Amino acid sequence: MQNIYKLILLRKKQIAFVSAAAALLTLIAMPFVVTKIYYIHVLILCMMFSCITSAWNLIAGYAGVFSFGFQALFGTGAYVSALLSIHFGWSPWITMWMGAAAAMAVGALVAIPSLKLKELPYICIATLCMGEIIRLIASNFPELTRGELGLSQIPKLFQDNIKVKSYYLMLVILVVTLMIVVKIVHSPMGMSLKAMRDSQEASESLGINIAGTKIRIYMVGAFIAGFTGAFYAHYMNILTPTSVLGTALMTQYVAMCLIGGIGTIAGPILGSFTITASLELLRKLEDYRLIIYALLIIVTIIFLRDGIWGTFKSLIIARAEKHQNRNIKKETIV
Amino acid sequence: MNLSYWIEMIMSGVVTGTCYAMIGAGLSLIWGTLKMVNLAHGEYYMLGSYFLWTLLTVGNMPLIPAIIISIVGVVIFAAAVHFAAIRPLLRKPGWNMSPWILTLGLQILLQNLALKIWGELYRNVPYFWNTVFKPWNMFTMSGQRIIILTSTAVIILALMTVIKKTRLGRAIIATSQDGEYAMMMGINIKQIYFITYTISAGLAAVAGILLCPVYSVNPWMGATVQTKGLVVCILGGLGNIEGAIIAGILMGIVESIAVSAIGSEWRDAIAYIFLLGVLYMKPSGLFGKKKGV
Amino acid sequence: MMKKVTALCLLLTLTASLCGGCAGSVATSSGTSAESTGTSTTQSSPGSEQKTAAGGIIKLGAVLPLSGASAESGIACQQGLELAVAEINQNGGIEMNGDTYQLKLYCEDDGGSPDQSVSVATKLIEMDEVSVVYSSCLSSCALAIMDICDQYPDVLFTTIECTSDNFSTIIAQNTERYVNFYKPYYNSSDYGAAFGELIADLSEKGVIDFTNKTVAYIVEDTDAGRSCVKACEAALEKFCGGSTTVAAEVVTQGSTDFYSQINKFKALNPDVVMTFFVPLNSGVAYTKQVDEIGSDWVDIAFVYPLKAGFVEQTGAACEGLFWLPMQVDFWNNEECAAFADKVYEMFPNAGLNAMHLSSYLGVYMVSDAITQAGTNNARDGLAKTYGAMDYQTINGRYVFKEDHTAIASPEHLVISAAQVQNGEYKVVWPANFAYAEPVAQK
Repeated sequence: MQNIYKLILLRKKQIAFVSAAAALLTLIAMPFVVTKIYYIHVLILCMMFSCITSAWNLIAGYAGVFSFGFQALFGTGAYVSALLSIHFGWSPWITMWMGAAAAMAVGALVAIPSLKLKELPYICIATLCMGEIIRLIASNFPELTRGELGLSQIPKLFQDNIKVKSYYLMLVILVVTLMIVVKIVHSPMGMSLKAMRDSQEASESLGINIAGTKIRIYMVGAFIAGFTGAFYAHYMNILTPTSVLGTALMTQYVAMCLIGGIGTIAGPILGSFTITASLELLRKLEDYRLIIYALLIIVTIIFLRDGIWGTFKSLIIARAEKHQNRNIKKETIV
Repeated sequence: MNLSYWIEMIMSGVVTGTCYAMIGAGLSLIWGTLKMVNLAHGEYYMLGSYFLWTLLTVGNMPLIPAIIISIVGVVIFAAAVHFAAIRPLLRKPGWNMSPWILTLGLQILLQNLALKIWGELYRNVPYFWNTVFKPWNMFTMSGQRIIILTSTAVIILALMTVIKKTRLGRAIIATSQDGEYAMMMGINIKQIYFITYTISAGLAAVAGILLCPVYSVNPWMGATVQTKGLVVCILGGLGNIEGAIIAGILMGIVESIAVSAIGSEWRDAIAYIFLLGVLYMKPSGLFGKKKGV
Repeated sequence: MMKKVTALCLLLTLTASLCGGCAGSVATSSGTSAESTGTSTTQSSPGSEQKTAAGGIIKLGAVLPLSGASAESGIACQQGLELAVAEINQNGGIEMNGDTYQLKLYCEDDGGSPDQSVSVATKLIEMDEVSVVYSSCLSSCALAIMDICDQYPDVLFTTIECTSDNFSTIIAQNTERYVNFYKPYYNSSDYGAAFGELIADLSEKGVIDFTNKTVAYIVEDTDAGRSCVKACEAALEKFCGGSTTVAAEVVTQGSTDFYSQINKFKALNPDVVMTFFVPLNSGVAYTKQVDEIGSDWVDIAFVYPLKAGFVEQTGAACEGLFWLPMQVDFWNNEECAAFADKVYEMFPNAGLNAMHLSSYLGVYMVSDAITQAGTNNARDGLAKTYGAMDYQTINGRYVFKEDHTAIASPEHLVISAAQVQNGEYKVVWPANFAYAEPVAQK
């Protein structure tokens, strides 16, 4: 029995690689298994949220900057890409990158002042306010963005409207995002992030440039969010400030990240898929849909405080350590 | 732009501001003491209004008993929520993100339960005092607004007295400054958590009751109030109740001026810019204490 | 520890079963559709499936804001649709090609958010296989759905009310693409025109003082609200020789604190103040607050006074208020009053408003079109028949223009204005529809 947990810990990397490959193959095969286009659409949304939550997880879970204005980066990418392609006629494939770059710039603008704030709640509310200001700017210039009237007729990515193509594009974006995340987490920057998360003062004394690291991570996260936003704009073909810059979006990605397990790589993805899928599937319940959804969230967080994946991880580690201690005890007695 | 214009503007700002102050004070209490964000705070505000409406229309009760029972009702409900959901999460005093999700779930649950129970129509509660005054013919003040002002003033004063002068108040301050130390000093933190939570729910309910004749009752009325409450808390400095109160009134006045000078659509943006400006100059809020060196 | 393990297992099982249910219902629903239609359905590439009626049922779908700030409107639409469907089914159903079919209604919530509307509409079409989609009562959601209507040419898309001018503009540019999308209602420009004419007439009669031609607006932040301001300004140019907009305040939908705005207007002193709110509470709050503070201007309201409860909640404060559109005269028109009774019979707690009637008529109009066309497939002729209808109802005559929106005119859909006189609504404009003479507001 004790060997299993030890095995898991020792072979962590291999297990992770195999399961990731399996998940990827499943996702690639999905469009052939699932016939209804509606489910493809739901899966695209799941993957999109996975990207957003992974990016937010980098910023909040690893760098400790709990930004509640993150949706502004998603929305900026969306609006900039949409507006550029509408007004200048450029191809969405080009404007998506420009949208992401714009999001990165906005991200820097948001990150730099918030570095002054030390305590968690201050960062949360200050970033929330910044996000809301950006939303109000988009909403109050209807000549430019059409505001709440809705920016429609956004050029599509694929002229022939086949959803499956968008599906594979989103899958590619997700895979690239995850590769970026894994690379960062397992790099020296990742180590310094872990140190910062555990103790800001200690890592400062070790010479880690906190402000610089935070800003760099923020910009990476902003880029990912902006690119995903731009994809969303050209996929849905309609944008309103509330739908891409609003606090409802913020609630969703934070919930997904926390339910899945913040500070882990698989957590946000698990959370995104679980929540998006359950929201869609609970439609059968009509009136009681949101009530059940809320109860699910409450029950989950009471019992699984670190999120689904987070708790699972700590369970295994705890079990492994327990058995390890038992072995040490055995050895010492003998 | 004569004098009466300015007075009216400041007065309406003050009235809205005192309500922000009530919500903000309650949030600041919870935030400072339990070290958690209560995203369901606006829902206690909403429940207070709904209880009052139900007692007045369906129960046909006279006003004062209805108000008292509504407040008590919300407090009891908050106590139940505290035991069922919040307690398990507060294992150790310190920052935690999980109450965030818990209260978010609570918010969605309560909003949709209210929708299910009371329906989607906006409900109306009549003004408590149906007269209008014109002091010195300079500006108008409706009876309801006078009641709002005086009640909030009284309650806030009572709250400050409890916090500053009583043992309970000092225990609350101690817990909010350093929970572990307070525990070592023999303060029963669990009890303090419970009391703080219920008091702040009561404050939110009172604000809801005072405002529902002005604002109409509906399941989503708590959401807007919630955001403003959070902003006011931070503006005043987290955990500082007087700060939250002053910040609330200040915010109300700033918003009122913003609407007059610029336009309604920028009202919230101006309020947020104001907050960001204050935080830029004083990162711990108007009256907050600096943590660490 | 055990608690955690059990909870974890529970959650994983829940997730797995949800996904399993997902895959399962994929299998079952494609199975059912093959059985009941009797035709071989190909793998769903959008638009290629034949939406023939199955087993004596014709399915209608509706995307509505059943939660959130617009729930009032959404639920009213839902009730109107349900009432009509129940009535039709009770009377034997609708006729199509010699057979009778029962109607089945699928209402889904989009929360008032346009991207959700698209998801929900897709679900209704692909999973529930509806032949008709009632595309929301909110213009922004309807516009989003309009963008995908060419992907499903077999489905008829029709809105419930909706006033944004964008529909006309977009459809006029490319009518071919929107061949199956209709908006059986007038546009904001029609609202504006009525507003302009009303002011011109009232000032001519001396009932209101429009000498300075100054107007202030308070509208909600929806496209209906914002586009109305533009429409009103344009109409005032046309009918009154111009106007000056001293303020155009845009507030969040559902706002109820107008003290600042009213105070601001007192300093600016406009001749007329126009307020546009769909939710009743905003209108009630504004009316009460204006009465509290006292004003010198003429108030003209859009939409909200038609909701049941306005007079009860405002009391004497609403006396003299002018408002449009008096779409449905539940008080003086006997047929409309009878309809109101029907609504209350089925839904005793309903918040009665014009949307109940619009959605109710929407079902009848579609079913008549199906009977006339002999098919419930938009591509096979339903869309064309629907678009060519000349449909007389207790609420006016529905005829579509080239841009697929309904005509507003004294012979078609009339936009009339009413005034609150002695606590009752009296239509005071246009003259040939008026029940009473307009009087000056105090």
